[in-house]
Amino acid sequence: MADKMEDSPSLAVQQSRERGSGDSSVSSSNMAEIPTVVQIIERQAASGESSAAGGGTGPPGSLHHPGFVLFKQGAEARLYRGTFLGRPTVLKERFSKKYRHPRLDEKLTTKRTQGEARTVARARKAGIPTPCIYFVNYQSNCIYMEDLRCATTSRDYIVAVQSVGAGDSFRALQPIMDKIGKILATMHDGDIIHGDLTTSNIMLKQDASATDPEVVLIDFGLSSVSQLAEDKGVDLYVLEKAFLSTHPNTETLFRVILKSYTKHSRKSKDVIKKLDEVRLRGRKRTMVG
Amino acid sequence: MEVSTTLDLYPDTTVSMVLFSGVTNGSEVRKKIMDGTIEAAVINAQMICDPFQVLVAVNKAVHLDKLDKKKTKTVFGEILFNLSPGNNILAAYQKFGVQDAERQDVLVVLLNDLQGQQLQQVSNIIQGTRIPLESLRDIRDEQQIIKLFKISEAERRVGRLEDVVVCRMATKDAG
Repeated sequence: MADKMEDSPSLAVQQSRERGSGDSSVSSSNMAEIPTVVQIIERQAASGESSAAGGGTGPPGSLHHPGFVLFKQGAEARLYRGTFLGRPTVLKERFSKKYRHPRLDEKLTTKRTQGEARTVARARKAGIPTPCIYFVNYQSNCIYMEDLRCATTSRDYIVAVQSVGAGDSFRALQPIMDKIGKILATMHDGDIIHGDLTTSNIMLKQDASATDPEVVLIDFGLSSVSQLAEDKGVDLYVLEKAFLSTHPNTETLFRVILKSYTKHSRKSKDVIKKLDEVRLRGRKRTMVG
Repeated sequence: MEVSTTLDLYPDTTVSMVLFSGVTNGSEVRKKIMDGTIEAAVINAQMICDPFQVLVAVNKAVHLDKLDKKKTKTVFGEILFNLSPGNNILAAYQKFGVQDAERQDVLVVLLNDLQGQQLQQVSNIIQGTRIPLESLRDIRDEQQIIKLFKISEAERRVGRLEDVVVCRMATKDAG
């Protein structure tokens, strides 16, 4: 351990990068070495496990979606993986809620699907990387989109880095937090509210040819458009809560995100002010009574 | 030279794509499309980034055709309309359909041409040379595509050009 302490943190990261991306045995034999994003991506691809996958083999899409395999079930939608026109694809199917009145239900579900597609288009126009949408079926409320290859969630990466327990995990994660802050700034400057910012919805993509990971945002199902600083502040608050509860002792890391956000956003002052206000009073709490 | 695929969502539909270079009788081809002699989508190859983009347009056209919710009259017209960023059908045909030029490259899309008969008929009419579909990448006019779709620099950086265009196509009617 004494030797490791003498190495500069940047050298340790560089060494693990140089060891080669395909060598997953490195992480197990060198417990104090921080894994790179590429290593985590490959580790997950090999074992077929990730917080995004939730278990590789699920029940197939059977009658409704031949060739697609269910891999996640949420409150609003089911996610399937398959191939579409030769490309690896994720199918997001919004299902009807039986407790709703059928006509209202149909309208609501279609509206949500439409809204998601619209916001993804808007986000891309602003320069936010998102999965590419290939096809939207408004009859069945299905969105067929790009299955991100060579990617992992920032959640999985932060967990992996922290579990190694090395002292320089901050150094390894800081550049990524920086990138996240920048993307969020661009998003909010485009008046886009994500609505469900968590580290599971912030992906890190890095293929063989890239030198750095790229931040990709997913799941715009609860997104909206708003110029209000309050809405943007709440968006960040949601991320802060999710961040700190999922990843213990990461206050300094989250501060990097906010610092980067402030640096890259043209309208950050009011947003941060609102964030502070929301932190004090909590969300959806009126000071009445 | 001819590439055939089945649509995953509509397995009863086979799509064939053939690329013709140096076509000299564009006006004649257009007449034959309008009078129904040619039943195919004849696309201005310069405006296409990648065959995947065409398949996406075909998939949507077939989808709407099955629901009888096409905006245009034929599934082939619908393919051209889907390729276009706007909602003006005539403009789509003008930009993405066969041009009035002396020489042009066209991508022909046929549906369910299992015996190859339709392709034979089309080849007899079109005065041009069949070239491999891979050549499409060399023919594409990126600047024109970027200009027509009004793709900003920021959006261009999100991914490959074909992905930017495909996403636009897929979300066109989302409002």
